[in-house]
Amino acid sequence: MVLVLCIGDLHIPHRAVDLPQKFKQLLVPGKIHYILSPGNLCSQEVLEYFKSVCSNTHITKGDFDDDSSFADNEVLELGDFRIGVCHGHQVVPCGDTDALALLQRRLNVDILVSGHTHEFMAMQHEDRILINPGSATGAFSSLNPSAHPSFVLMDINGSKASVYLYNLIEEEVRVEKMEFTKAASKLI
Amino acid sequence: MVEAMGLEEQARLLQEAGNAVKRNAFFMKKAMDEDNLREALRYSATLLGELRTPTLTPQRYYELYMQAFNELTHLQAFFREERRKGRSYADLYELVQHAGNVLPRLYLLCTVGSCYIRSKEAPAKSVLKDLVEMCKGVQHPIRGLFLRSYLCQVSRGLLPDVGSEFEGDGGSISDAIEFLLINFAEMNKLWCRMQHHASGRDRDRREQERQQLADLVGRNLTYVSQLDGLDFALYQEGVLARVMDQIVSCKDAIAQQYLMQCVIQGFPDDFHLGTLDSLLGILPDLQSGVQVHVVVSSLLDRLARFAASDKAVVDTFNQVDAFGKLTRAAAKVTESENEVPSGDVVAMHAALLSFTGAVYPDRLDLVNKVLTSAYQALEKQAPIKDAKAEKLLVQLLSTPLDNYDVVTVLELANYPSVMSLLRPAKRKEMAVKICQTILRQRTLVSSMEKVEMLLDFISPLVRDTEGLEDDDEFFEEEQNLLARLVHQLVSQDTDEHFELLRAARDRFNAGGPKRLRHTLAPLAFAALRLVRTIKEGTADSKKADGACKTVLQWIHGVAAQLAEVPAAEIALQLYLQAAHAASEVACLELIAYEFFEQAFILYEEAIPDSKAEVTALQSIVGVLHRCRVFTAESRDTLVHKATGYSAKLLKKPDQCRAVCACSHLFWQELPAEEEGDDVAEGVQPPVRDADNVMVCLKRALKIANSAQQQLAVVLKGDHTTPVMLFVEILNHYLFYFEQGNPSITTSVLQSLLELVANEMANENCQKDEALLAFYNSTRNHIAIQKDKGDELAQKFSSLQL
Repeated sequence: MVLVLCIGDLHIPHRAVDLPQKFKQLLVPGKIHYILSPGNLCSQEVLEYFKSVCSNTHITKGDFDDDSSFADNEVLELGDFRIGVCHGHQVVPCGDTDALALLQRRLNVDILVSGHTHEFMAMQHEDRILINPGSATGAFSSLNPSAHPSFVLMDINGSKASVYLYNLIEEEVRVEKMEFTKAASKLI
Repeated sequence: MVEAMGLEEQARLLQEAGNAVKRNAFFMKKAMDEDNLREALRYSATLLGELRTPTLTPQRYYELYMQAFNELTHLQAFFREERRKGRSYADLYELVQHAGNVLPRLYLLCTVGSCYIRSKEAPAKSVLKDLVEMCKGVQHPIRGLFLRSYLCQVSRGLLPDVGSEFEGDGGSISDAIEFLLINFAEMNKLWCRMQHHASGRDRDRREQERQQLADLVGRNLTYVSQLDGLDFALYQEGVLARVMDQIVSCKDAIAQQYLMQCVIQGFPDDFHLGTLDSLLGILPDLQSGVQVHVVVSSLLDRLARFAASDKAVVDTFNQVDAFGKLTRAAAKVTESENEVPSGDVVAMHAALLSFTGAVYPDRLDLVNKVLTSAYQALEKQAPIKDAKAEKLLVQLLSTPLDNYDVVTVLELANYPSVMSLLRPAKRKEMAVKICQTILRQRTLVSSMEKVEMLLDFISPLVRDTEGLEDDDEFFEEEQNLLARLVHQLVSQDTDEHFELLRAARDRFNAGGPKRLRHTLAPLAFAALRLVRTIKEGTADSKKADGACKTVLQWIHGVAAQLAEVPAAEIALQLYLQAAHAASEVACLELIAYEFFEQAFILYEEAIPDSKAEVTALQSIVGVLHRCRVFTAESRDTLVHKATGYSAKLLKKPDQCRAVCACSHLFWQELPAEEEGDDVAEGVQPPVRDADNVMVCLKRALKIANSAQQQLAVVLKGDHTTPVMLFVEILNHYLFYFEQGNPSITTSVLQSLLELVANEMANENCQKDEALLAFYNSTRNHIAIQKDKGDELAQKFSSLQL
């Protein structure tokens, strides 16, 4: 059982003051095994905060990150899944599921964690899973002006992934759960 | 002598004296049993003679005294017995005076005296007066102090207090007060005299010994305060004036310090409130060694607690102008000739501030007055370097932050001047604290006045401070605080909100490029959000357009300034964000176009390296793809430029991917169904230029081809990257095929599939796992499409894998 935090597009200090207090309370150090972030942290302090929650971080470079140590994309294997992380500003049309699926095939990943749209999403697309944790600060974006803060927790157990979507709506944290199973690889 | 004696020696001496006391007590009690009064008195006098020792330290002397004290209780019982047998106390009172030595004689006299009073044979006041006068016979400080302490103790409960059985014939409350005050004054004299018995070298030890004896002196005042009949008039006229006299005239710092505290802690709050003038008036007359601020602080603390316990007394505070008096007293302390250490001045003002907070929680003007007073008192000593004073000053400045929300604190006009007393580094720490408080409480600063004040408060972060080197380690973190703060400058009124951002920018300008690198971007984003708020909130579309234009032009300026910092990458991203807002929010084509032009200029002239170019171009294409405001001509120009850049990237794979991305610039998404006909004015229909998509994809293939040839030339034919690109291009074909792009026919797709299959047959490709996986996933995707059974599956069915 592996607990994975997917969190991104914080845009601190460019567009947001801080992670919501209610999220900070949830993200206690020592519980989470991996942090996967599609990027746009935008400051060293956010990175340090991530590291304080969990030292095992995989962060890719967003269009507003100037940390050159972040890669364009990262791939790792957890349980039976291959998981890819990529910010998504490289994908045209932005946020389009077919375009994301193309990237997913290129990286050969079962789960793709992307960001950029500030709109959270977790869905099965063809035989793979797309996850966008949204913006953890609900940062303003002209792509999604009414974004509210959100992140995703994934619990990976063998070939099963339970995905919890955390949303902060009107100062209240709402959680939604979705279950995914890795599709048996289909040979042609 | 005493000074040179070790602890062991002291113990031995005490042991010896103690043994003598025990021995004599034994004979005394034996004499008592034999009913031999004369012998009993003789042994008791010898016993008490041990207290004449000149060699014991106060602590050891106390132990010996307690031993003797216990024995004297037996003597009291014996005296009562004697009286029962018919001997009068007057007789005994005479008889004990036969003791040869003055110290034992006076102890015995006090012992009989207490019995005498209790019996009411004589009026309490006369006996007390007699005893307190006679005790003057002992002038050795330690012996005198303990003797008088004994007197005080045995006469407790025998004083002619109001309601006491000794009142009336025995005297009145004023006799009781008189007795205690004379005893107090005499003890204080003895106590002070101890100081002069020490040579310079022993002063510290002597002072320590004196502190141990302080409570003996203070007990007199405690007993006064415990008198039932003590009312305010008596206190003011009969007690305080005399105590104050004694305090001033003794000219002894230790005594003054202790006794002021004694008075403040010992007597009731309302007494203090009524005698503020006397209490405070004496302060300038105290010795220089007295920590006046401690005195004032404890008075302030008491009064603060008093006010907190009973809100009704706040009126009384006002009637006597407690605040004014205390503030003036504080000021006076600092003006006195002796230079008061800065730490003490600050501590006193800190107490004054918490007093003000407790008594007048709503009176910000008074808080401001305290700050003024603190500033005036410390101005000459600025900058405060003393570590303790500095720490206390930071605490003083933090108090309002803890008690009020920051916006309220911003009304304290004198706050920045008090901050200016600190050394530059501390001043900056304070500024950081203010920022952190605002950010933690998420306080919104909504008026121009408050914003200007805030920026004054935190000026050490906003601009260079003389005498302060920027610490690289924290500089970015500090500037990020400032950057985050921008999002708290918010007004409901969009015009005012914009003014707030302008004001902040004006101030930030003074910070120079190294700060602007961090602080400009948040201003631009706040303004971008404002554009949307204006557009959505303004009914009159002309007015909205005008306002949006103004803000967008301002953002243009901010981005240009950022480019000059220089920070070209983020400036370019800002231009793109602004272009998107101009297009999709404000529907202002010319402005959106201008933003793209600026982004292009930066792309051409200022992007530092090829890696940054790739990212910048990805963003350009991504944003341009989403813009729907451009008419055909301007769109062509922009798209043409972007595709041109793609072909000029350094690496072939980057070129190839960029061209694929550019193909989408000719193929915009159809509007979502719910949007329908309800398209905003100025929005152009989506571009669906199948031919040009094809041109781009073919160009991508060409690049992949040439990459392959290039590798062949340098004999790296085993390199599989070009095949990876072919597979990737194939995927883009599939994307358009699914989208129904008429240029991508089944036969076009089929031939590409075959081309890729041929390439994949290569041995090297079969060894490349990533490539194989990508290829197989692609084929798998086609298989899935075939299986779907929908319209699209029909199209896919004729494809041969």
